[in-house]
Amino acid sequence: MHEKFITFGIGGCGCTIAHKVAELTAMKAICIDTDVTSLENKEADCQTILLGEDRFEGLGTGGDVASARMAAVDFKPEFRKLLKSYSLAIVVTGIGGGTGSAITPTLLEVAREMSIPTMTFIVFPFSMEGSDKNKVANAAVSNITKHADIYCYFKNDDLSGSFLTSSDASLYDAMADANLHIISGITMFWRMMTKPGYINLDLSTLINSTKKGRGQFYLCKSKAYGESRTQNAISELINSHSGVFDHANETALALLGIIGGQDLRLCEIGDVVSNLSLQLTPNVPIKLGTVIEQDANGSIEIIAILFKNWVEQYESAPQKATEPQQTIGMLTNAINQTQGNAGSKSAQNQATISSKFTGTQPFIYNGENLDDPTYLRKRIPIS
Amino acid sequence: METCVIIEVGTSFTRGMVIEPFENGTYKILAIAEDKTAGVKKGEIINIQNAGTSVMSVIKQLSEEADTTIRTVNLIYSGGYPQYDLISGTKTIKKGEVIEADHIATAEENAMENELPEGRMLTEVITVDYLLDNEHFVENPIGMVANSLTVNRMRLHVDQNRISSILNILNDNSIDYQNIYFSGLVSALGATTQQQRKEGVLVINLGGGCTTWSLYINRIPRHVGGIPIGGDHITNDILYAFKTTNENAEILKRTHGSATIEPAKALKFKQDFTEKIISQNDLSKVINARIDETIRIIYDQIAKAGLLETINTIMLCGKGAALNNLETLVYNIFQTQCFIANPKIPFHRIRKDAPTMAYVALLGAAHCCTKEAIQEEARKKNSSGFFGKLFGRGSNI
Repeated sequence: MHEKFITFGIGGCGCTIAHKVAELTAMKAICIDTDVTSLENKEADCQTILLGEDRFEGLGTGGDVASARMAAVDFKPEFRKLLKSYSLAIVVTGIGGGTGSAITPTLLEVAREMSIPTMTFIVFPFSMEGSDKNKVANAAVSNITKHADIYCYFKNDDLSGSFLTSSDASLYDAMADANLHIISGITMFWRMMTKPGYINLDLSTLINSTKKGRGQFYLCKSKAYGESRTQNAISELINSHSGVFDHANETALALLGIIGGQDLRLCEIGDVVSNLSLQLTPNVPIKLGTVIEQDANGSIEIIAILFKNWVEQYESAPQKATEPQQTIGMLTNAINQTQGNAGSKSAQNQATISSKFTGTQPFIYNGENLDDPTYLRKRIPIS
Repeated sequence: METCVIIEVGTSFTRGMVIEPFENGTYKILAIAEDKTAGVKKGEIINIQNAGTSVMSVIKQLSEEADTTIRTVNLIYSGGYPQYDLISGTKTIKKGEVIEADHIATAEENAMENELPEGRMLTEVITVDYLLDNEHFVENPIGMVANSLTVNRMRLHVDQNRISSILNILNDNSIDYQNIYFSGLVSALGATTQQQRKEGVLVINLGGGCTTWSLYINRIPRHVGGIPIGGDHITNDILYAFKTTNENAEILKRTHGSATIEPAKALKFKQDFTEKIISQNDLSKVINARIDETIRIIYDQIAKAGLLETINTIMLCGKGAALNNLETLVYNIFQTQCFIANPKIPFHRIRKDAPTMAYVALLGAAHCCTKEAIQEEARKKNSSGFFGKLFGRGSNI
């Protein structure tokens, strides 16, 4: 099932992360860069693409966003071929340079044209890298978010946290720690779908959440060991230095992954869910998946993905659907083949109430069967 | 020029028109026909034999009235689960070249390389705008200088199986189809002026089984939509609320129905040899709930696309637009001026004061067919020249 999704790494940072993801999992990854050195030693684990070789001779864009954009546009037909057989594309990109800033929007644009949902991880440069790079990054964000379905920002400054203030922290350690955060998030999906865990988060849930969650999402993770591992992990997650839970009241859907060993207890799962529910607005749906790993005994790892704009009403039809914001599809996709989802008293009376429409596909919108009389569904009293 | 036949298979009525297009862009109506539709619910064919009888009855009437043999028709659809997506194609322009019609044609062809979702059938493609160097939007790129030209297009498609049912009816009767038009789009052409479409107009067609809409800005459709909710749902709601017959519910809707809440007043009607009394206030509450919900779905879709501010006028059409106080309800939701489209139909069998809002999609399609016929003539005359290349692409919406 994991073969249905693919990770694209774009630019130096994106390629490093995508390569690591491929190394750690069986997920397919494609590394795309204009700089040949960043692709070295990655062929064994993932497909590598040196883009715009005729323009940049494999030396990188030198920050030339306009030329990189042209190279990306030329490559559009190849993007189509690369995306063709996947149901979900995870895109990891570092912005601020030419490659990530210019190629990412084009790749996302093609994915959207092909109705393939995308989940994009955008990594900002360190603020110390200079205002020019940050200016390019800010411009790139608007192009990326225009075409991305759901996206998440990471600022290297935030991710590296304590490393920045520690005088003896090495650049390697800081970058590795920053990348690990994103890698954990991406590999979580793979782990949930491929490893036993008793509570499953399936691929269609992930794809549907991506389709319906247009806009920003937040990712945070924590891990703790020992006696008070659950409370410590919850506390670390909520008080994470990236401040993700500061946005808890904006959350419309939470995807929660809990990874533990065979000693993971049911009550611990309950504690995690109930504690995190308290952080969210009441009735925000939480979709839970657990993973049991043999070498995780004694530890608990929590990964939370908070969707800001997730909308429940668009129950997708099982087939590939066009993206919602632009289409009549957003309504017609809402048509659910099964009547069971109506869930209300009116749904039980379906045969009687909407008998005029027997033989047609019910029109489900906002979880309601709109073939049923509106005054009944809205409980409007008549004498 | 050759005559054109247009057929609209609605949920309640099948309507048709034969027109004779002229080179100056006008047309003459030669025949209009209408018959009750059977075998269609919510815009979907559920009984192909019954639906086929309705369609062929209208074609026969048209054929007799226009005194012509009908071999080809243009079809208007409102069901078939229409969807649209935005596609784009790019053409790199060589240094020293200016953009020409051929560049546009290549970019448009590249856009069409985007595969349609499985099970969908393409019906219309409309060029929305042009983008130079991925940055500057222009109205007409010809003669301009850029490194790349991107054409953004709106592609409409329908469920192949559902539209196939209608096409099979035609095929079984040895009738070909020329174009398939989405009622939401062509209604705008029949219900509005060019000036309105330039200034921003939302046209809502309230049919028996489906409600469709389109929003035109600068004469180009920017948003289209359709939901399988229509006048039949209002009738069904009344039927269920007052435990009456379908016929009575239909009469109550037409004669006493209101989109806004009305004061309490006794309404009497006969049922099963007895007299039944209901409150007009109750009737209006049932209708208001349904129509308010429908219009708010449209409002939400347009708001989601960020286009609410672009609406200057709202025009309502379709038979459902005859519902009392509908403009008031729509105005209250959109806070935008709203009118009922009731175009004049220059045809001897249509009364001058007849409510013609139900014919709006046919009139819009007649505009498209006329343009198509003119372009076909131009193609024939200039098949190898520049204009031959220029014409024959894109849509006449």
